[in-house]
Amino acid sequence: MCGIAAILYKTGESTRSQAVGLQLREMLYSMRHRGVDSTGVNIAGQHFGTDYVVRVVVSEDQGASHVIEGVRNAVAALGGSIVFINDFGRFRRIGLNYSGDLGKLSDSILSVKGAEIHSIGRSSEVIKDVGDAYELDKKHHFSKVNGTHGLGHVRLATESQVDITHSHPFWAYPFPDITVVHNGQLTNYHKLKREFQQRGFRFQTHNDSEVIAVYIADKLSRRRKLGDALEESLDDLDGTFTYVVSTDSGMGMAKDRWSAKPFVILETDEMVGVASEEVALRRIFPDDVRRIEPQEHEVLTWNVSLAPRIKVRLN
Amino acid sequence: MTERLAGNVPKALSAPVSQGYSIDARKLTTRLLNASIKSGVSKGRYITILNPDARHNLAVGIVKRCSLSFAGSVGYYCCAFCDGISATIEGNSGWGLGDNLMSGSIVIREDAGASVGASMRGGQILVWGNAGARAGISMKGGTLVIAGNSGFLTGFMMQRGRIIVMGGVGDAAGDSMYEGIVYVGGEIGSLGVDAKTESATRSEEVELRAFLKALKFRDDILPRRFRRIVSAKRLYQYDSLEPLERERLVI
Amino acid sequence: MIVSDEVSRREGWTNEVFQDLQVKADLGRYRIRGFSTFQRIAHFDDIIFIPRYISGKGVELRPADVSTETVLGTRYARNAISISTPVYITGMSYGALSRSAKTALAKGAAKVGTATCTGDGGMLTEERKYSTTMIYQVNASRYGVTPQDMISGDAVEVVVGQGAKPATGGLLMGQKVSAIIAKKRELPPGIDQRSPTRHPDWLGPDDLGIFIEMLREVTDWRVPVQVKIPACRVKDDVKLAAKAGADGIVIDGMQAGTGASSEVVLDHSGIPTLPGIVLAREALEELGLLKKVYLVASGGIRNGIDAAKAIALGADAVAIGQAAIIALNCNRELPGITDFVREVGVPAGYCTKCHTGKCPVGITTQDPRLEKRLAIDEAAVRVASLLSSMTLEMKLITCALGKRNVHDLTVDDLSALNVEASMMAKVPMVGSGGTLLKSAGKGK
Repeated sequence: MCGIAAILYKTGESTRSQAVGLQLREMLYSMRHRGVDSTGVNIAGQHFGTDYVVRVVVSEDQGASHVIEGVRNAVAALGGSIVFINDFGRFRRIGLNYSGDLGKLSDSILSVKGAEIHSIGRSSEVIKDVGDAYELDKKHHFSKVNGTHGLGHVRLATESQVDITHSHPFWAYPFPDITVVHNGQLTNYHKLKREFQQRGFRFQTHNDSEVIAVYIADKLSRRRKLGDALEESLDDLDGTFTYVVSTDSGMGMAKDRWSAKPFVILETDEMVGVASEEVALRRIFPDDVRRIEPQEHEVLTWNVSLAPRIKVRLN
Repeated sequence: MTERLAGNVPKALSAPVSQGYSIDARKLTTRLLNASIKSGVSKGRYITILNPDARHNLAVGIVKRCSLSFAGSVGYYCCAFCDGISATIEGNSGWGLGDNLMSGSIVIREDAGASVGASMRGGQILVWGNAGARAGISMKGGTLVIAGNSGFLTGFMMQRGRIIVMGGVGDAAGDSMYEGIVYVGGEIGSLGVDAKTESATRSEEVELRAFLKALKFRDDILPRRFRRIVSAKRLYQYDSLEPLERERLVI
Repeated sequence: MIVSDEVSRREGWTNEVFQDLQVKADLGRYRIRGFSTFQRIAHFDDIIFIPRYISGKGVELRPADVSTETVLGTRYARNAISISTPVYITGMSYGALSRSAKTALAKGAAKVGTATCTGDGGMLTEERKYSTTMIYQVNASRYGVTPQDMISGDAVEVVVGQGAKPATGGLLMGQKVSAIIAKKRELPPGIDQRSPTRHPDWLGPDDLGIFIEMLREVTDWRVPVQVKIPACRVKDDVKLAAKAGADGIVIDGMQAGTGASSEVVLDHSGIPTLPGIVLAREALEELGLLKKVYLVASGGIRNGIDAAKAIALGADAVAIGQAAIIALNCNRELPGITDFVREVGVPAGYCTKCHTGKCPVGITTQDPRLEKRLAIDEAAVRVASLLSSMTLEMKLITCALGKRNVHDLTVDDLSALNVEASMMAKVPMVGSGGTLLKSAGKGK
């Protein structure tokens, strides 16, 4: 029901002329046979010019301006200041400055009726909507967005109505810049969700993939390294899964013990690309790069290491 | 792939053929591409498929003797449900390469994805690279040769046939096998349910080496010895039966 | 023997339970049997048709005026299948059944112009020879599957699972893995064979889409591809199968039969056929694919009136297994030939010992001495008669409702006789005029 893809530039600068957003678009479009109901990306390593960018979507049954007014108030009440709001229909891309606890800010925004948060990030943002990758691009223009790394997802939904909320990537409330895309199905989802809810975590959907985002974020917040968090998930999560996590400075992938979901990797000195199917990666990489297929019960991580010579780009 | 092995992969996977033509896959939908291949096959031509781009379902359901060559990577189920084909693949494959092969030969230069040779009934598949998980799953006959390593659950629920892995196999090798043999030259990650290992017999070693040399494996990259993974046969029968189930008729 | 009140009122700890536990104390494992669940669950008998009288202009119709022609598979295939009646013989494996039984079924179905389906054991040449419409099954085991056989079929069925035993695969006990069966399936003879529970080469709905496309490429897009799903989480499964590109869906409910299964899954997993059909129909409606993707209902369809009710609830056709077997003489004492009590330990009418291979009437056995007792051509006539009787029953009720086509039966023609059936089938309970349906909650 899903296809996943991700790309990372190891030195943070692409020698190619193509933006990360464009590359994700091509990869996801080539896997549209795995799902065309919705598509989503997270593009990381951006320079926003504000403390955070929050991607909010207004649920269908509410009036947008009314909800956004509520969000403004919520932000102001906590001492934050909104610098810009970009309008994409029911979506709002809000750049704001804020120095307080991000959990409080998230809760405050979520308490506005009709507001859903797709992501909060210092350097990354989630863009997801119904339709395939090209339709997503037409509406949100993400193929122009560049960064150091990014991940994406195509989804085949079981619900009939237009539903963006259950699309991936999932942002790990309330931690900035941590997002997850997942292919597979967790069988101990309900049990894990209840445990997290008892500890005060909020879930916006009934989608099992969301719990992976929360799980990883929880580990990272307790100072586990990404690789360790992924390793531990291999035992703590039950079911079939291949998932990719993106943080502000890198990404990682985990593959379940049954090797049930497909995943291939192409890697050069400059960059690494991962996807559910090789057909996606061949859009970006030349034929001579060798394909790697991770084994079952395996975890891999990659980091972006920014050398000083990289210019700082303003958005 | 180890360097030694990489040096051994033949430059040309099959003998050159003077008559033949190529089809550029990039210009065609999968349906048209397969229709072109089938039509070419019925005229007895040698066909090269250019730019397969790791696409799915190429050359499936071909039941006539023919020679096909893929100049690149293929996706899922390449050459599935075929009988009598001779195919070479210059790149990687996705899942299910040679699924349900009845007879014929498939040679792939790089890595095969999961479930290579799934349920194959005869013929031969040779993977010069590595194989993913569940290689030879539910195999019913034929021979699957993997020059590199094979993944998790190699030979799962195998019924007949031979799998020959020059490298190592992953965990749960030979899980729930009925019959059939998995020969392993390298490390065995772990054995699956109801599987056991034995050393290959002398005559088996001789036969294997002769067979592999005929496939162009050089002496210096053949493993020193092979072990066999076979069914321990402890799960063949329910260990307790009700009275009416107990009378076994051997028919 | 007079049984005291206390004993006859016992729930949960009945005589059957006592016996069962005593056997298990010897056996040390789960019990296995054939047939289907005997749990008391709302089924077709609990819903009825309601013809109109003064409220609607009754039309003078006779059964002969009613059409039962059925076309399945117009979504993608070049050649949809066309059968004379919306009931066909479901897939049952050669192995579970004898060669004579499979041949009789093919001949019988052909006599009335309807379809048969192969099964978890590959295709028999007799099946293809005698059947006018043959659905070729591709299941988890792939026993006996060849491209040539698949290409010779009139449709392909991808079996995800069986309603009788969701989450387990086929089971053929050693007594029935004869030398011939073993050869066909490429197995050691005499072992207790267990088929895999899922396919070797696809694992999720994303791969299923690619797999279905592969089957179409093998068959040159000529024939419909249907997906058989056991009724469990029906909406999710049906939607995913439809999105993966199926031409049709077979929804197999809990009351479906099997040659052998553990009682654990036979009686305790999967949902009944009634809600299975309704949820499947709703799933297709929600996707806007109703009637574009066809729906076949199976699982305890016993006669033409059950079939008519299934069609009214949303099916385009039904598949029968147990009923067809019974037409072949299942559980019938043949004087001078069979002796049920001596052969299987219970009188005729009580036998569920399909898995032992001792079928006294030669249906679910591989023993040639027993198989001889099934006279193929005579049995084929019985199967054809059963199918004809079902067709006639469908026509009769259809014309009683003033309709000229069996496919015009809809939920509006139905009411339920009890609360359970009303909620499961989402039809109004008699007398309540629809109030129960409202409180039951429409939609998801």
